[in-house]
Amino acid sequence: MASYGEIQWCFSQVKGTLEDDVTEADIISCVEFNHDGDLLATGDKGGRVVIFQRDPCSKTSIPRRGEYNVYSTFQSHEPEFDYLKSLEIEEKINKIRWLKRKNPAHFLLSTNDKTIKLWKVSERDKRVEGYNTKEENGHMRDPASITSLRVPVIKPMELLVEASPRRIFANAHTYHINSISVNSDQETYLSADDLRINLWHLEITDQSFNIVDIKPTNMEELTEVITATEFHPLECNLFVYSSSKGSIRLCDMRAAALCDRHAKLFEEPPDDPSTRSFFSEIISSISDVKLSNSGRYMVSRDYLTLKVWDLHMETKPIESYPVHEYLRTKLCSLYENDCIFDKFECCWKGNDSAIMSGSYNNYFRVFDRTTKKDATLEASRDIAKPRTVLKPRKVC
Amino acid sequence: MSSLQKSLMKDKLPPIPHGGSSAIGGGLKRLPGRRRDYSPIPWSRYFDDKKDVQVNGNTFRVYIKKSKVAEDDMPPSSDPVPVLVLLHGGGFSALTWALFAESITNQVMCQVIAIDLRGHGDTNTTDDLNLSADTLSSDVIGVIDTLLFEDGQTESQPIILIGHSMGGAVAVHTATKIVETGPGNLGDMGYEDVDVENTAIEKKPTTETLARVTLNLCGVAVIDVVEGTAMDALAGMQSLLRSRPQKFPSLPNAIDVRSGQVRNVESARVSMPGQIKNISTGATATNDIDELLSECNKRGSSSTDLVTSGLGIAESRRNDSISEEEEEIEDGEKSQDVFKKPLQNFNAASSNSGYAWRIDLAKTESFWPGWFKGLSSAFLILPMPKLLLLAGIDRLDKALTVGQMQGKFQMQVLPKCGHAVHEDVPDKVSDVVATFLVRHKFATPTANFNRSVVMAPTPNWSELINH
Repeated sequence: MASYGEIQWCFSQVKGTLEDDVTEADIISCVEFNHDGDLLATGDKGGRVVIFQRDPCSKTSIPRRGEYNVYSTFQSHEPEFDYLKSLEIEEKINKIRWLKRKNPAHFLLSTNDKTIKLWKVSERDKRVEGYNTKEENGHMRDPASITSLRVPVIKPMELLVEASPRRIFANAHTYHINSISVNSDQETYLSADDLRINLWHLEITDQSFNIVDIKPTNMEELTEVITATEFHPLECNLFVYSSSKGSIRLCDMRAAALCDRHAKLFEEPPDDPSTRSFFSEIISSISDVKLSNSGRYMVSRDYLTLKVWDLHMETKPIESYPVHEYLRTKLCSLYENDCIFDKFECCWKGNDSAIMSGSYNNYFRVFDRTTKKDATLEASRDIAKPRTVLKPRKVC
Repeated sequence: MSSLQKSLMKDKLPPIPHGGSSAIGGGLKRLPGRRRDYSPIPWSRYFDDKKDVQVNGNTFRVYIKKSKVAEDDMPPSSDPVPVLVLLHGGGFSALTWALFAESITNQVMCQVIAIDLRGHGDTNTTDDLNLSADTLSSDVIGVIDTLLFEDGQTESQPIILIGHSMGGAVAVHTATKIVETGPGNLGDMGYEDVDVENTAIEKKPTTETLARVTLNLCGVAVIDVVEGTAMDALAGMQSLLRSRPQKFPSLPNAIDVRSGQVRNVESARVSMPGQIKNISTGATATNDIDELLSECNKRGSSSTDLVTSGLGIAESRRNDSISEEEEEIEDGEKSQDVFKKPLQNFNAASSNSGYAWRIDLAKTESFWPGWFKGLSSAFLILPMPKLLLLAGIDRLDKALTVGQMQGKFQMQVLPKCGHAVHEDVPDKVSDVVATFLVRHKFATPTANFNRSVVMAPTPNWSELINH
């Protein structure tokens, strides 16, 4: 809904439950729209993926609505046990990424801490009847008893959505996978853990190339880890990765096989020493980085701010938006209750004119880059009526 | 945030104050008010009884606790009531088990015996520095035998040996001895010419012929000791011992220091007195607690005030040396007495007061390799159910990793703990041990039993605890 040039947000649907006692396995751990927004995939802590599809009527209605219905549900990952290290491997889905559509089927990559899987989601709405060598119930017919031949016919059937794992990419990561990103060539993708980034080909599951390795020979000297990675949306040779020290590196795969040396380093100059505190380093850790659809900009999320960078300028971000500045004075308590380690994601609007990120208490923040206006909205549990307009909130 | 990143970040920051993080569970009891109380706690708060057991001319201090049960909850007499024999680590004392003992007897019907090993606590032996694995395990068998067998009894109750660190090694050596000598396994306790080949023990004791007695050992639990890790750590042990403070001006000061290593102040308050001795009297500090607390009552001051002055014990000692009969002494008279014999008291106050470690561990160095050599294979060979509790996953050595993958013992990791796991998180250790006992039907649970979910250790430990 748009009015006076500003975007108004309305509640549309709730998927899942609003109740307080949610089982641990149902907690949603990632969400991802596909490229045309027709499908929304969610991954949960129990290793399941649920895909919602947009209701065709809602697309054409006036005013435009977004309503989604469950399209497919499948168990993507199971809990595993690493016997060598006596450690459990969680089935929680960390990231889902869609591939661009090439044929009637949909493909997506889903990953837990250690294994990436390529899933094919396909529809079946026709079946074949009248086989010569098979009965309807599947039993084989004795060839000797066949006296005449017939042509099998295609009959419609109720829509069946099937998900099948097409590739399993395993055993390439010592540490926990935090990002996956599909290349614009739609043939390769990268996966990143705390210390390494690997490049895969979608067809090849038993090999991957290591393109970034920041593991020190002596782990005692470890000072920073990789927090997020993304391929450039248009240039197939470029990718960015963010670190826990608040820097983002742009790497060019044409330069070398191992991209340990960055092509560009985006880092804001360190704070005025007088404003530094014990927590300056933790809150500068970047939890998510996303390149704009145009490929010219990127947005990074650290604990308190969103920063927009121009890829042409490494020295400082072009825009900086405070997400929940009122928390800056409470860092000590947030450290004690562990909240300071929380990771937030961020994303771009389709035309790059706005960015969005989440906060605490069901709040999310939307920043319009052109009008410089921002809104704080609450995905409140009390709102259950569709088309209820969300009123902007203010935190004092 | 990944656990790797989180630990990286936390290393650079000041630690969360004691009990600050809600993730570390209920073992810590928050004291009211900001000031930490470092006054010592006597053994009687946690144990029912203490005994000095005579074995071959040596006296071993043993603390005992039994599960209490209401009349109507009394289990049928056929249910087993196992005896948990607790063996402390090198340099520690039986009192380190105090909180654990309270917790475990609350969760399952059992009896707990915590022994002060040779050279430690209030145990007095003819050779306090002979800490060879062989001697220590013989001591343990001797104590168990003397304590457990009443007249006419030929088989003991089910026994479970639980040892921490050096005590864990002793537990394994003891278990090996018991198994090797088979039924009628009193072992070599100074009885001459024990013939273990025959089914009936042919003893030639000095005084009388004893009936055959069998130690019914049914389980072994080892806390935070792994052969490979321990052998590697031995090299650094001497410098570690030297870096400890050698002297403490007062009991609460010692407790303060100890509670820095053990993250549980309450446990430090009861266990530390068993680990240090009063320099002037040579007696273990446990003996000073009663005196200290009664001195406080006399003066009407709180124990904290008295002892933080640092001179509390020395002063009371001074009084005793002057006149023992005069219990009720007026303040004025006391000071007069001090002036009467100034030189003697001055010396007592300055050089010989304070506390030192009960045992000079550095002197026992020759025995250290003997404790740990072959420990992993000895542990794995034991035929009864076994439990290994570790503070960290990286402490497993190769033999134990293979053994664990083969399912030869139960392993439980309690992360976020220091080496003295049973002192840091006594409740969690108790949950694990109680579950172990109940699962193998060694003991019956009480109404307070917390079944510990046996999970493989995961990085997201804090999430699980909060859940």
